[in-house]
Amino acid sequence: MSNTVEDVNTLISRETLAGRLPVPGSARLYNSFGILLGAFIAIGAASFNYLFGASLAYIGNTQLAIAGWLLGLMLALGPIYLASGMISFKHGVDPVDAVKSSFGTRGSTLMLVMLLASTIGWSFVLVAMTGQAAGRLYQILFNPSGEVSNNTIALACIVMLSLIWLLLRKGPAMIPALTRITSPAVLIIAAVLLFLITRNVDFLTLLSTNVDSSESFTTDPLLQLAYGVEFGVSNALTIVPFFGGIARLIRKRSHLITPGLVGSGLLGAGCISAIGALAAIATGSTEPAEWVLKSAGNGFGCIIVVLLLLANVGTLISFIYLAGVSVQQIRFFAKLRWDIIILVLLLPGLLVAFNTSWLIDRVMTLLAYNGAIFAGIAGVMFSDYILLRRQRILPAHLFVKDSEGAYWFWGGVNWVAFAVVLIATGAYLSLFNPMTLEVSGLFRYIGAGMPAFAVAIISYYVLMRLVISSSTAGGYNNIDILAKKKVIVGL
Amino acid sequence: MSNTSSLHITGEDSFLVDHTIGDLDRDLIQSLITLDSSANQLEDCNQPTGKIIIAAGVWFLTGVALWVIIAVSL
Repeated sequence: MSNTVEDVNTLISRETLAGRLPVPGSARLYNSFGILLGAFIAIGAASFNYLFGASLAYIGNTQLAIAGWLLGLMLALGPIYLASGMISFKHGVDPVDAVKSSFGTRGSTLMLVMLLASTIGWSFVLVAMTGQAAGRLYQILFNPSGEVSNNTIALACIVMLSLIWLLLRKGPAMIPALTRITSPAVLIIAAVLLFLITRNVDFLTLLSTNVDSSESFTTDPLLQLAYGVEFGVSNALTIVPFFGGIARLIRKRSHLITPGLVGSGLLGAGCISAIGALAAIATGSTEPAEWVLKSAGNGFGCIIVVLLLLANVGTLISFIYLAGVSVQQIRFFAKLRWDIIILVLLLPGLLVAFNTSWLIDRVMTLLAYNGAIFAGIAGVMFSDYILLRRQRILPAHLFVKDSEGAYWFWGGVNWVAFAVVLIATGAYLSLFNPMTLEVSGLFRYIGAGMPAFAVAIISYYVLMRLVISSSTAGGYNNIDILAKKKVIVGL
Repeated sequence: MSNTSSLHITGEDSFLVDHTIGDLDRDLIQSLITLDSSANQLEDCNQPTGKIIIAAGVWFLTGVALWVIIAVSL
C-alpha cells in the first residue's frame, strides 16, 4: 500500500516537473479559440480588478478613465505578448527557460524571482482580499453595529489556503476543470452586477457621472486619459512573467495574440474594472463586498459575494501552479514532492491570514513597481529575439548549464540586459511614480510604460550591436557552429 | 531522431544529475529531439510568424490611433 502511495507521489512530482519539458506542437493543449478565451478570462478576471476599477473612478472623469484603461490594454498587450511569448510559443519552453537566451543561463534568475514574486504576491493579495470580504460580509449580516472580526478574516483566509492546497496537491488536473466553471461564472456575475448598479441610474448617466473634483487625481482631461491608459498598460505588463507559460500550450499562430487580448484584457481585466469603476460611482464605495451588498441587498448580495470569492479559486490555483512549476528551477525544490512544494509556497499565507491589511498595503506597494521592471524585461526580450536573433535560437542550449552553452554570456549573465532593465526602470520612474501618482510633463502625451518599453528595445539593440561586433558571447554570430556542437543538457 | 548533433547522449547514467529526476533528463532529450523532428517543423507554431506580428501590430496601432483621436477631441 505504502509503495502504491509512493508511486503515485512520484508520478505526480514527475508530471509537474515535466511541466518544464518543451512541448511540441502536436501535444499542445489549446487548439480552439473558445477554450483559450476561457483560460485567459480566468487569468484576467480576478476580483482584485473590481478594486482597480474603483481607482479608475478616482481619476476624475469616469468616461475618459474607462476609455483610457481599455486603450492601454489594447495597445500594450500585443507587443508584450510578442516579447514574452514568442520563444515559448515557437519552442514550447517555460518562460524562465525562454528568458535565458537574453538574460543568460544564470541571469534568468531575475525572471524566476519576478515570476515568484508576482504569482505569490498576487495570490496572497487575493487571499487577503477574500478574507476581508468574508469578514465584512459576516459583520454586515451578523454584527451590523460592531466591527469586522479579525478572527473571521483569518479563518476565511485559512479556509482559502487549505482549499488551494487540496485542489493542487495532486497536480494540475483540476485547473482546466475549475476554470471551465469559474470563467463563465465570473462573466455572469459581472453582468448581474452591471444590471444591479444600473437599475436605478441608467448606464450612460452613470458613465458621465464623476467623483467630486476634490477627490479626483486631476482635473486635466488629457492627463485623466493618460492615467487611464497608463493603468491599462501597467495591468498588461503584469502578464510578462505568466504569458510564456500559456503561449507554450497554444498550437496555432492565429491564437497567440487575439484570444489573450480579448479574454484576459478586454473581457477580463477591462470589463471587470469598468464595472468596479461604475459601482464606485453609483454606491460611493470602493470595497466590492460593500457595494455588492448595497446594490443587491443583504440576501442576494450575500450569494453574489460568496460566488465572487469562490471564483477567485480559479485564479489562485492557476497562479500557485505556475509558481510551483517555476520554483523547481531551484534544485532544492525539484527534489521535493509536489504536494510539499505547494505546502511550502502556501505556508507564508498563514501570516497573511492574521495581517491582511498590512499585506495588502505592502505587497500592493511592491507590485505597483512591477510595471516599471517588466517594461524593461519585455523590451529586452523583444529586442533580443525579434530584432537581434531574427527569431532563431537553439532550444537545446536553453538547457545547458555551463559555459559550453550559447547563452552563457559572461559568467552565465548578460549584464547588458540587466543594465538596460535599470535604464528602462529609470525612464519609467522619471515619467511616473506609481505610488504617489506624480507625473512629468511628457506623461500626459505618452504615458510611462510604453516609452520605457521602447527605451529598453532601442538601448538594448544599440548596446548589443556593439557587443556582437566584437565578441562571440551570446551565440549571435556563431549560431551555425553552435548548432553542431555537442552539449550536455539537463533540467 | 532526425538530428541529435547538438545533444550528448552518453552511456545511461553518466549525464544524469541525480536519480530522483534522472528520468526527466532523458525525457528532456527526447523532447528536444521531438522538437527538432520534421513532423514538428510542419506544425503551425513553426511556420513563419508574420501574421502574429501583424495581429499584434494592428491592435497596437488601433489603440494608439484611438488614443490620439480621443486626445485631439478633448
